[in-house]
Amino acid sequence: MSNAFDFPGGIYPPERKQRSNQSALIEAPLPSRVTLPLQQHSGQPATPCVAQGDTVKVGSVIAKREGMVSSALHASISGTVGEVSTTQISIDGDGQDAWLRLPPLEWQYAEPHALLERLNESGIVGLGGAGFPAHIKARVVERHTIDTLVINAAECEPYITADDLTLRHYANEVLEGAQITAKLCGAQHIVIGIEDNKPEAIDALKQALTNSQPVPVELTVIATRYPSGGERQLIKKLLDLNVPSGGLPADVGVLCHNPGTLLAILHAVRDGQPLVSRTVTLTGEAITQPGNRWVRLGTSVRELLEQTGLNTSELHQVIQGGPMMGTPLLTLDTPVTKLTNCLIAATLEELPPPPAESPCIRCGECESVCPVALLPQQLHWYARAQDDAKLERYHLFDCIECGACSYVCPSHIPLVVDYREAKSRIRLQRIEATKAEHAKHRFEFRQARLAREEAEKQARKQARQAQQRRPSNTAATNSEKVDLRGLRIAHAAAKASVKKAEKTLARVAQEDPKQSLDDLEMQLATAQENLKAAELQLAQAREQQSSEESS
Amino acid sequence: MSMMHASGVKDAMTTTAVPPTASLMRWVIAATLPGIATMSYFFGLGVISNVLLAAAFGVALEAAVLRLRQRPIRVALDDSSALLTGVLLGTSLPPASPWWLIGVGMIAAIVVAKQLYGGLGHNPFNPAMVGYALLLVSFPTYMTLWAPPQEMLPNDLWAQITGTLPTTQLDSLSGATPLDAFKHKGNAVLASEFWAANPLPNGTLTAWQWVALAWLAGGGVLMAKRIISWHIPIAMLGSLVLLATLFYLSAPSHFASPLFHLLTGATLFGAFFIATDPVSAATSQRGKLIYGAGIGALVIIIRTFGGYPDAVAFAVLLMNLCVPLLDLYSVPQPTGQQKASPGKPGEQP
Amino acid sequence: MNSTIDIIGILSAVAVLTGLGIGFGALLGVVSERFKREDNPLVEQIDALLPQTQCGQCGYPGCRPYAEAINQGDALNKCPPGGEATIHALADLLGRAPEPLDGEAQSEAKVAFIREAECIGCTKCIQACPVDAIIGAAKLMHTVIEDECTGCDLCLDPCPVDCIDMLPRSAPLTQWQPVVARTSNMIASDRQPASGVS
Repeated sequence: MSNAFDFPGGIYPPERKQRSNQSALIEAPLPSRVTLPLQQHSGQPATPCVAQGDTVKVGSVIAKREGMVSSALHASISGTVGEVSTTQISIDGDGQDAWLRLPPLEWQYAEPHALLERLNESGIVGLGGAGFPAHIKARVVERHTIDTLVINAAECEPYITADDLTLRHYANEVLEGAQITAKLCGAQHIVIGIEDNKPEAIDALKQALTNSQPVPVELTVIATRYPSGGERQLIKKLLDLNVPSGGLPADVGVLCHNPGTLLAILHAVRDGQPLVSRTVTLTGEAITQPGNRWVRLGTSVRELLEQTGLNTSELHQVIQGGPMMGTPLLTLDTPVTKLTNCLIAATLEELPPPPAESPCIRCGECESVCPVALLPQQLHWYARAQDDAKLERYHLFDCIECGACSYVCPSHIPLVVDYREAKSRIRLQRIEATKAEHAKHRFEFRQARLAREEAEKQARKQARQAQQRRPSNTAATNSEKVDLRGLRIAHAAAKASVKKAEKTLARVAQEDPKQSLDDLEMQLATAQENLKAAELQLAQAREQQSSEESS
Repeated sequence: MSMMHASGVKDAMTTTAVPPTASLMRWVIAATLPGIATMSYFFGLGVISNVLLAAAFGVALEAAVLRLRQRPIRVALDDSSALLTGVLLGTSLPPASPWWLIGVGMIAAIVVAKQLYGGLGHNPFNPAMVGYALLLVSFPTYMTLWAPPQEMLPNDLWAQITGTLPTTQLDSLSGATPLDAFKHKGNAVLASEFWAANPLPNGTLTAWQWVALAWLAGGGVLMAKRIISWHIPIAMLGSLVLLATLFYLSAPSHFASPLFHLLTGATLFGAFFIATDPVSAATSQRGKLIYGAGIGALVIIIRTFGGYPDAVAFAVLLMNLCVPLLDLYSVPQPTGQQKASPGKPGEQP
Repeated sequence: MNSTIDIIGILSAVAVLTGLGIGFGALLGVVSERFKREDNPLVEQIDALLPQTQCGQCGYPGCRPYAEAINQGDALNKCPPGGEATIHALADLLGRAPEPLDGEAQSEAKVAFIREAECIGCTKCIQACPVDAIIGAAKLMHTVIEDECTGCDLCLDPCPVDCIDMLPRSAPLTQWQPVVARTSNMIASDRQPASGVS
């Protein structure tokens, strides 16, 4: 397949990859102590299942998956569990590096559910950055037909070379991991997308291609341009498919995986080795031995950087992730997690703080580089004004926060910061709005229930009165104005609203079975309560009327 | 420990590929130099005195207002936007305009049209054109004193600038611009009669055409350097030529030729230096095309049917008015907002 | 001769204008009948802006009744849980002038918490809760479902042993908000300090 397809925009920042791609991928020294956050993935944090003082081996489960989208966590060194808090678990190492592995699986012959369970047990998450649990991603086939597995080896951000080095050293293994994933999701094709600035990795892949069985693998080399490694951008570039807004690649029959993840999948299946380490690019002018290392999860960033010759006096900031989308670390006493693909120890000259922001003059430079074809300048304006309706209109939530707009802005406006702020504000507002809506439904339900109870009470009272058969003239006086017609209308309306609620519930349940139906069920219950109350009132009124007529 | 982005931290990488805002402004100022030089060659030093006076007024007024608003003055002056507004208004005025005229124009431009709306980036209207339009409707006599091509140093230059020239002598300065002359046509009714009567002083038409070409050269540099996007000038000139051609073909005896419209008046100056002001222009690429085309069409319509000989200022201001509407309806379709591509449906049947 | 033409001209002008008037009037009438809405959408819109705590601090039994009262002309400023933001949203919707909040603004979202050791199981709070967020039975301990509690504090007064506290609502990390030290001022230069930048 040629490179005929393209996404809009894009930028060409200085690559600065040479610093870390010269040396081979080696193991980092075993840390003496690790700190493992309970949330190293998207979704719910894991729940600890060890207590202080427990002895663990490398690969022992220390926290279990919690809820649907979540992932298990394993000890990354052997030793004793130190502190278990609500956010993290620390382990003091014994230096033994004793392993606890799961039994190896022959993936060619294993049942898919066994493979899925293996991914689940091994705590594999997407190592590219988002950290989506791999077993959930593999289960996408339950709702979508997957045609193509895309291996996202573009690695378009400057500095980062983790995937590059992984592919140079483990091209065969990565492809085998891809075959496992392809088997799990039923993909008919595997396409590798890689930028042309990684010739050695491309060579390694070309050699490995010939041995890869059974799904055919295609290698597509694309021109280096940021952000071609964005999932949507890469799919557009490789396959000319547009992932719909708010949707997943699976909506167009594609599954996207990072080479590191595929390698971890292979290790989990073939060797029974859970996710306890990952490749991290250590780079930046402030360290003397840059390169890529296999790092045990939970290793302190400070320890890791000091091992590679950190020049503290030169150090200006450490960035976790790439320089475009990563975040500066506020402290070096933070652990490497499943999501740490790169640590840049930058000097002041290397990544200087941006000049002071000046007003936006709407020059349109950001618009021309936006890979999603948004209008960043308008989003900036409305984000600062907190005009949420306009933000919606200008598709704020399609922004992938790649930072291309901030990069080219002649006024040095931190545009992405504005968007992130606006997004999190709007998300919170939506949560609050759902909460308010929910409270409203519960309130309405309660009102309906009280009304029904009141009606039942009245009915019982009337029944008692009827049994006593007292002369009807006393009863008739207070039922002078029985509005039978009004009650009948109310009854019909209640009936209609029950029908409507039932219909809505059925429709929504069919459209999206995953969605929570609590609120709709409650609305239905409310309507039913109202109907009961109306029925009772109507029956009561009829009886009264008939007794009046008879008297 | 959450893995969420720590917001509030600026992005680490910035580029040197795009010059910062201040350099953008300075590039535009530099690109006006050929135009200004050509104008002063034909119309004398009065052009340069205009530009210098207006620029000085611009900087002084901006500083004064910023001081009143208690804003940092240096930062705002460093971006050279007030200087640019001065240069643009200065070149639009008749040569050797009196100082007070320039002052009034710059007050309207900098104080009213720019700073009262919040300064750079916040003005809905093009400041220089607000100043120009205000002068045009308030002091029509002074605004039509386009002397014919003249020596570099006319005798009464100083008197003109200081405003001490007796009003009786003002008339002697008055010389029609080609657009002005064509509008009124003297005693002629048909275009052919008009041209036969040789209504303009010697060299006027040539002078205007050379000036227009000088603006084109400056604008070409800006476009080549990607300081301004091509959308607005091309759309504006395109619609202007198209409409002028339509009129001209329908009745050549009444309407001026497209080339006449293109090379006289402020057409090319407006297309490259006025309409392209990004702050008051439409923002999306489609919006810019509509915006530019609207200006071009309005220029021809006002020149042909309106009361003023030239129309760039009014056309730009009118289209500035339409910008919010254009912006609202020209939001580009982001990738992914389209329907999912056909061919490989992912949904199970 | 001229005068007749004038009269005809005047008459025709009058006739045309009258015709237009009648025509458009009829059109307006038809449209207003054709697209008439049975419910009162304004009440729905007002209700949607209220925080739905059902706390009754406005003097009405719930948010919906207050929305109806606002529609009838009641003041906008009786909703302390909504605070200034709600008042401004309502003022925008109804085109009325915003008034200062009547009562004390709540600084943060709160939830009720029952000190379970002290609860005597009287069920009074259960009856008071407008959203059925308290579970328990007679002579048994009660507790508040945090996710359902709107923080209306209607359960505080009925409690005979004062064992209910209002505590700040706990927020998961996924709902973390960046601290934005920025005024709502639109003008960029207004956000910068007046001095110190050169």
